[in-house]
Amino acid sequence: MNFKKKDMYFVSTILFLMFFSIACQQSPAPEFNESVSVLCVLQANSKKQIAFVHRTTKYSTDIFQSGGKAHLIEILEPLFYYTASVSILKNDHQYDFRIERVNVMEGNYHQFVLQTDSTLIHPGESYKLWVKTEDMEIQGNVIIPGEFRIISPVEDQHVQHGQDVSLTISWEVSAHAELYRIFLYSPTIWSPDSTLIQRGRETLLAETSDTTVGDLMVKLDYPGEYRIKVLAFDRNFFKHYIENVDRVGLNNGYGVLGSVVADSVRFIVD
Amino acid sequence: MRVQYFVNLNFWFIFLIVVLYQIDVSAQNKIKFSGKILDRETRQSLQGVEIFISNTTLHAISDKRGEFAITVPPGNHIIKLKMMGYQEFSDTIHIPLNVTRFYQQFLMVPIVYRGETVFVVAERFKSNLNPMVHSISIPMMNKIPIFAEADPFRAMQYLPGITSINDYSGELYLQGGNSDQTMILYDGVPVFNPYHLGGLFSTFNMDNIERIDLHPAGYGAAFGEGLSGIVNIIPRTEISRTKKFKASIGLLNSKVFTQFPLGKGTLGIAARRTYFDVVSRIIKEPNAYYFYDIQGNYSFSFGKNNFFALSTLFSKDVLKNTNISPKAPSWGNWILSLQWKRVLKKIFYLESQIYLSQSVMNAQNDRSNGQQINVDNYVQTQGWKGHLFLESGNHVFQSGFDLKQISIHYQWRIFNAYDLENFIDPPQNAFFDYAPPEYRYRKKPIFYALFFQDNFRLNQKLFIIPAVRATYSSLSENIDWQPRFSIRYVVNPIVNFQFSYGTYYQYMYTLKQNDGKTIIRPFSVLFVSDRQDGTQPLKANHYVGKIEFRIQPNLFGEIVLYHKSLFRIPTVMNELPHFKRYPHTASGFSLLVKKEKGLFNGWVGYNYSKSIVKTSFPFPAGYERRHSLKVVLTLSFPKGWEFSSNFFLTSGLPYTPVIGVRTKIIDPSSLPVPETIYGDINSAHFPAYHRLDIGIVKKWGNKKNHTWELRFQIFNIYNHKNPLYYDKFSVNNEFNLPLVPTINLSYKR
Repeated sequence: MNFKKKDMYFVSTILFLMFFSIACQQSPAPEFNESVSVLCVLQANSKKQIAFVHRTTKYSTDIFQSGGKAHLIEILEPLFYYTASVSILKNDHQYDFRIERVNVMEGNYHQFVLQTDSTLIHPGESYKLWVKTEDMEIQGNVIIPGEFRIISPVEDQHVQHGQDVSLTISWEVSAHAELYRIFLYSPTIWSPDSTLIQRGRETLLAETSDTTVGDLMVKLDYPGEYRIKVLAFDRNFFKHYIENVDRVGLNNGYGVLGSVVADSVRFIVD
Repeated sequence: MRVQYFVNLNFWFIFLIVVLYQIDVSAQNKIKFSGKILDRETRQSLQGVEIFISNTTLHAISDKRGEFAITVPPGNHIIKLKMMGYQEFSDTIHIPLNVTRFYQQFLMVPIVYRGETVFVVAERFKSNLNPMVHSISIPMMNKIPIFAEADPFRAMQYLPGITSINDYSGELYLQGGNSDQTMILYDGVPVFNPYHLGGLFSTFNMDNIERIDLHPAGYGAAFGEGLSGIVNIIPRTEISRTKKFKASIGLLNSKVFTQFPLGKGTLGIAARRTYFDVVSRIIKEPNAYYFYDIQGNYSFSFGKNNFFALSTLFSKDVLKNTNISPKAPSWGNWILSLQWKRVLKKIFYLESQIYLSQSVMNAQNDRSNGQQINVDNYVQTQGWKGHLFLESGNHVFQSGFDLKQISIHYQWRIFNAYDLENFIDPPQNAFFDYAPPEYRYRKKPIFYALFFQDNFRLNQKLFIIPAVRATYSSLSENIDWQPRFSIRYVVNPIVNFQFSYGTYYQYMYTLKQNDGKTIIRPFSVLFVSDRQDGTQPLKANHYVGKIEFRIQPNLFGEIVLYHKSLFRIPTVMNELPHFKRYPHTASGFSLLVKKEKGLFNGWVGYNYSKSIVKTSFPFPAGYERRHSLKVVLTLSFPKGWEFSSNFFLTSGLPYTPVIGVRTKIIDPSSLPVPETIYGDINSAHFPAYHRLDIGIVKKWGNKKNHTWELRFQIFNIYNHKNPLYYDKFSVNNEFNLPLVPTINLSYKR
């Protein structure tokens, strides 16, 4: 039996079907659809809460160019959602945020602010966030991490000054916390003739999920009162910041409803 | 989806018609032609001889009494008999018109060379024992138009079911699996980084390869640890009294191969080297790169029943920079193996092998400007394995062991060495995704493996192969049992069906995603599953069905359906700065129609493959090419002219599209920052990849066996711009290889 005309018909049909099926496979990137990005990290034991509501935008390389704070303001301000309303719900009470204009050296920007006379957000409690725009309603839930204390160093502990001083910092577990940030606050140092030697500053020492950081080599060049502060962030913030998840603690849009609790101690450098 | 479903139904329907049509035609003939085939010297019956009747689709295989029966039309026919270890037999027979039966006896002449008994018996035991194995012919591969240098891995990418990630990569993705799930062996010895130029070519010189055994999904118990399959490169280890010599010169490199009798055996040596560094020196470019490799084999026999083969392979890539001292980055492999094969009374056959395989990357540069590169990476295995075959009645029992130790040592410090970018800085390009600039990893696991397999022939048509492999790893502290099972049913001389099931474990893996962006991968770090790290070995279950059919004596067809469930597969994702383990599935089917002999030959292959990562939001694997069509064609003309061409049409690779920009908070006391919004993982695809390569070969020579060959080839002749990778908002930034002409001159005698 030879390979004849009708066999060629079969083969060419099969080839055609193969070409056709391969052509069907192509799927281009989806079109951009505008949405809303909500960012709010509730700060326990604070009288001021801040939230940002922005429109999402199309991708452009210009957005990601490095240009400092001025560039950031230039990018963010046109996206700010002025007509949005933001509220916190606690025990059937609604607390509404207002828009605040912030003036900094690099320019002006806007944010939503909730200023209260007493502290509204408490460790270990649950809160709801409600954001409403013309096109979208977003609800969020968060559990504030539990109260905790720094174990070491103890308040007013004395440490000898030096270029590389070994510090071990430990603290209690904060319930529902997933990430801890440890800051060192150094004092402003003046010479006896009133010359500025060192401006007071905040240094991020570590970021960890553990409850201790050992043998940190820290610059404690000058005697004075220093402070260690530990911030305990909840799981929502961890997923937003570390895992870069698009939406955490919210039912719609993009962004995060997170929370943070802090503790700090003073120690003396001799 | 509906369209594709419709397409696939049509496709199967038409192929079934083709197969059934062929079966029907073959059943119309009248005269029963039977015969017996004997060894001319020993007069022993020969089992497994293939019988072909020219110009028909008729074909048979002799049974254990050396007998066969086939129904033929009356008239003159050319009969051909073929069996490994024997000279091909061809003769004209006359089948009279007025008979219903016709009988004839045939004698086949054994190929005489030392060690012949071992080879004949080995082939008899090995052929048809692993139904899923493919032996790939080197002469056919040599004809395929190639990019710059004939390479077995790049040639294998032309087969259906084997895909590549881009034109720069020779890595093999078998039937929907990842490239690190393809175990590469050189004569049965594992090779950890078998590539030159960071993946562009394999380290294996085609001139020194006897054949390539491809064991895709559903392979037997003699092998393990390749979750998606095994590629075993078999070097030339025949014992021959004939001297052979081949030298060739090309644009990329020059190579030489020689084989000659030495003492009681045969020595074969193959070597090649590139010229990039010479060109760099001429144009005074400080960066110079070259690679070379040497392969050597010495085979000898003691008597007729003992055969020994000593094989080695050494390969090295060097990146020189005249401004850097003292030690340029280099990487490569060294393999050493000693094999012993022994036959006892032709029913008992054993193979034993001791081996060592080492893959190394080194760099040591401390420069005045503070830039520093220190790399000291190696992975080495040494082992001993044995394989026993015993024939008893309708059974062929196989049993064996593999004992090995692997030493893994990775240590590097790489900071800001920008002038070596794309080679070893950043370390993610060379070693693994998210590799830190400073790293150290050491392990020394021991593996013990035992296997047993029974090839049981129930009757002339039905073969059943139950098997089990057990592997113990000192790091997982567990015995992993791997049951395997195959069944083969020979419907008639034209069609046979096979089904295989198997469980497979793999202990080593890479942590590289396939974004297409990293095209140079000089040393992909392999990690090992360790109970102490909380990592268990990767596991897979394979289900494979296969239909083989013969359309004409030289025209074969094959349909393979496969499904693999893979577990604990390390998966690196774009947006996670670490990897997680997820189950994967790989399923699909492939079709192959192949013509191997004659003036016109080649194949058409189609593959449908679906590789899914099964997270809570399943997505296609980054290396998935759902459809691929490959057409390979060679034509031989008078006076030594040959024309060849390949055509590739495959689905574009999937990618994760960017769909916008949102805001992100880093520090609650600071302003938000912009952040990219990605769409669903791998939810978009590049445009379909297509390419045509052509080659023209002219051969000439004289009666003293001096042969010259001039090869001119063009890769991607219509210079199609196939996108290479996706960069946030565009797929058109960089492309796969453009039109590349290659010229090569070789001399052979």
